[in-house]
Amino acid sequence: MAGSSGSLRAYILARALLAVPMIFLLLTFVFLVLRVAPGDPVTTIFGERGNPVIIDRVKRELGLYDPLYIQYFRYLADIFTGNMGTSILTDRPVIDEVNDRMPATLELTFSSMIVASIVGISFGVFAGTRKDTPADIGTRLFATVAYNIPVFWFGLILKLVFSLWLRWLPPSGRFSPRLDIPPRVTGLYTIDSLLQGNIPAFVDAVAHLILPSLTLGLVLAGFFVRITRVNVIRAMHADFVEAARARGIPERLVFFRHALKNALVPVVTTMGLTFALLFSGAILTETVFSFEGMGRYVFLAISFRDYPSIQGAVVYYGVLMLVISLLIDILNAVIDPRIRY
Amino acid sequence: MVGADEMATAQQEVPGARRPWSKKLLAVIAVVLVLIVVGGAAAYVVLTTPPPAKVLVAGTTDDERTFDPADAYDYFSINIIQNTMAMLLTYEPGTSNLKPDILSEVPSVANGGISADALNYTLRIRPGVKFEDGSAINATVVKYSLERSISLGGEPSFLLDAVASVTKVDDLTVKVTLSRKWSPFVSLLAFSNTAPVHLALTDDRFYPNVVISSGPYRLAKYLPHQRYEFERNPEYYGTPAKVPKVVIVRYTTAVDLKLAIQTGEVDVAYRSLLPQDFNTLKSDPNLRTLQGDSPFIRYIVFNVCDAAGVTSGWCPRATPFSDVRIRRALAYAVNRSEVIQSSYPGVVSPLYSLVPEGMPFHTDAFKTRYGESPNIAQARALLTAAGFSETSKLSFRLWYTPSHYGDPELLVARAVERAWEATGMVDVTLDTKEWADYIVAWLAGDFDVFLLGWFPDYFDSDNFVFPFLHSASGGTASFGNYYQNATMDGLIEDQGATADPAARAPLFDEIQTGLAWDAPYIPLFQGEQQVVFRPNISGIVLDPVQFFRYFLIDVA
Repeated sequence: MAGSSGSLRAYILARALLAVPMIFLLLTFVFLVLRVAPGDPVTTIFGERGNPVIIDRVKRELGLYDPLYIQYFRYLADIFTGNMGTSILTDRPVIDEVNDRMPATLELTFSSMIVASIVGISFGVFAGTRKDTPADIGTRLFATVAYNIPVFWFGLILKLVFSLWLRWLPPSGRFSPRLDIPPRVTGLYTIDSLLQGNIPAFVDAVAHLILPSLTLGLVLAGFFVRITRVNVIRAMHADFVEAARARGIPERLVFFRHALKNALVPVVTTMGLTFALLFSGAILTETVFSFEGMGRYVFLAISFRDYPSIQGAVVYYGVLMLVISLLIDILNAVIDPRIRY
Repeated sequence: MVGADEMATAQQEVPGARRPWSKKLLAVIAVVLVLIVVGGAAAYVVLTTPPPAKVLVAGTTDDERTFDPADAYDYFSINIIQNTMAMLLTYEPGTSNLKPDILSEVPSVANGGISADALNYTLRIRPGVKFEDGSAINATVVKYSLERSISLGGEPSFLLDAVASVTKVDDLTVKVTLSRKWSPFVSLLAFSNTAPVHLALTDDRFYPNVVISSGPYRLAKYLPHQRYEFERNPEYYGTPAKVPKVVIVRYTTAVDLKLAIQTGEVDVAYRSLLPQDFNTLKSDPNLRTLQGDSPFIRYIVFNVCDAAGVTSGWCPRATPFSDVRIRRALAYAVNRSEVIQSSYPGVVSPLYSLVPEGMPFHTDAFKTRYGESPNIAQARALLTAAGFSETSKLSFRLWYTPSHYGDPELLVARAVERAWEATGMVDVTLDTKEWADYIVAWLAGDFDVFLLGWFPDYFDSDNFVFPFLHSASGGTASFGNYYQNATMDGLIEDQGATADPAARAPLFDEIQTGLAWDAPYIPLFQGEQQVVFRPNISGIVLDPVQFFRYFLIDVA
């Protein structure tokens, strides 16, 4: 056992060390791409009314006239000292912008993943255990349609049905304008309202999450159904499953203890990476439902060449993706010792 | 040992053996999903019934950038400032007439507020005006605010370029000395960048998130880019706001704004619904609508750079549109009715000058010069004179930007293209760049012909001619237009030097006639404001300066 845990420690250490050059490369790549792209943030933001004197002064203040290598080292130094800079577009610290928008993205991501996991895994298992039956074909059809359905169209249809026609659910936003937003603790309205003991606020926050998370969750579910189904079919015909059956273990136990567990390893890996991608903001869903999350933020930052915001967001995404990848690798290494170094 | 037959049987039984539990699982999942939707909806409906308090909820698609008057230069930021801060001067609701706000009078030659040489402006401050914390607005505050606005160099600071000095005369009087005669300065006293700010805004920097109110409302809470909550300012010197609390919610899309007003989530939807949605909502019996003039204008820009301009370093490259005959031909051919019908039916009106209707001194100069409808015969004659024919067509790209001005922009470009190609002697190719690249390209002089729009900085007709036509404004170059005409420069300077409307009117006539004659721009249409509201709402005023006053709106 000691040898085994030592091996795991070495594996984690190796993966963590590999992350450092990856982040460095990512930072360098983003820096260069932004400088190569046409347009600069100051001219873009000032637009047709730009006073050349002021534009010149602002560019000077931002160090945009400095040689590229000086800008680069200043950029790296700032990031490694935790200074993400100030948004050129909004004049607010990038870290504040991220703090304001992260909770929206977190709530949307978690709720969508819950929908996607429940629907994706259950339908995938359902289809996988009925290979080539009408039920399987029907489920595969559902998965294909769900995965290919345009998010903005699906979101709009849900809003028309549940908000405009039935008047059951709010059409957009995170919280009713007629209610007071609960005092910020986490920024997550669902959690903050519960902490405040404000049940109507909690219900309102959950109600505002239902349509966006169904929209995004069902689209993702289409993808998860297909992956789960394939892996279930593969696992059900694996030698160890046949061996278990041969030992007379009841089919229910064979499925849950042996087949499902193995089938879900690649599914969990995919889900983890999808989860990390969603943190970067599901821009279409955020736009369709007026959710001011990270996706919208990055879109605006790119539109206006807001270097500090883009760079800050990329650093945040990069670190997040690496951490989640690392966690997935560790989880897989724990489940399957064969993949350790 | 298990025999081969038994194994085969076991394998065949696998699918059937697994069905009972998975059916149950699916049933449970289906029930859970239905419970989430129906239960959530029911709880939402039951538990989130609007509270009885008198709150006005407004929706918009606009976004804020900064609340610092020295730096605010976009519609929504300025509108928030206008509702939370008193200005030196303001406008009579529903008109473009100036009236005192923090100042006790509108400076004029008659009341001694403007000196005989039109270089000195005396600002007399109303006694007893305070910020929300009770501190007084006096000459020290006004002087500090004006100097801060100039020295910080925010986006609108260039508007104060004519200010040479600001002097405190006594506790309630400030004197502003201009470096040149410039009558639009009075209008600037109603613009947000001259609004008095609290002395706590120190350190020579902007405060984008701080509002220390002096107006009808105070900004009680706000979630950046999402939600803005006003509460009545008890220290406001004027008539208290009608409704004690206003919540403005920002929606990402016009579709969301439409749904919000339809479902009753908001009481008022202002800026900006899609034209077709507004027309649909007009016939909704549960809603009311209003339309009003707007000073927003749309126009075509020609890059008129010629060989002489290139030689002198004035502009980067000569274009075919340096030939005035081509510009006039295209001005004859343009079809404003078709542009409006295809893109903004019923919500904009045709424009025949850069000075929009509703602003002083407006004339329909292009209608007088080129007619109300397209004149293809005249256009063809001019194109022929310029050396083009049906076999040797004038070919060029018409540039537009697909999202900055909204989705209908493509339709505007197509309508212009159709009208010009109707001459049979013009071949137009539409081309597009996103806003960030669009700006870079026109500033570099890369475009020959392109579409732009303008919302005035200050509500004086000067702001519709000086930046567009005066060669020293930096404007013609920064519009990618490079128009240069000494006579026009002189006329613009003359109108700016006098505050007398009777003296300015004939000068503006000449300017607009010259504009139509030279056609460096072709005005297309001017915007209209639209607002949709619920029947229990009253007091909405849409005035030509587009100052949306939440403090006049009441909820029954």
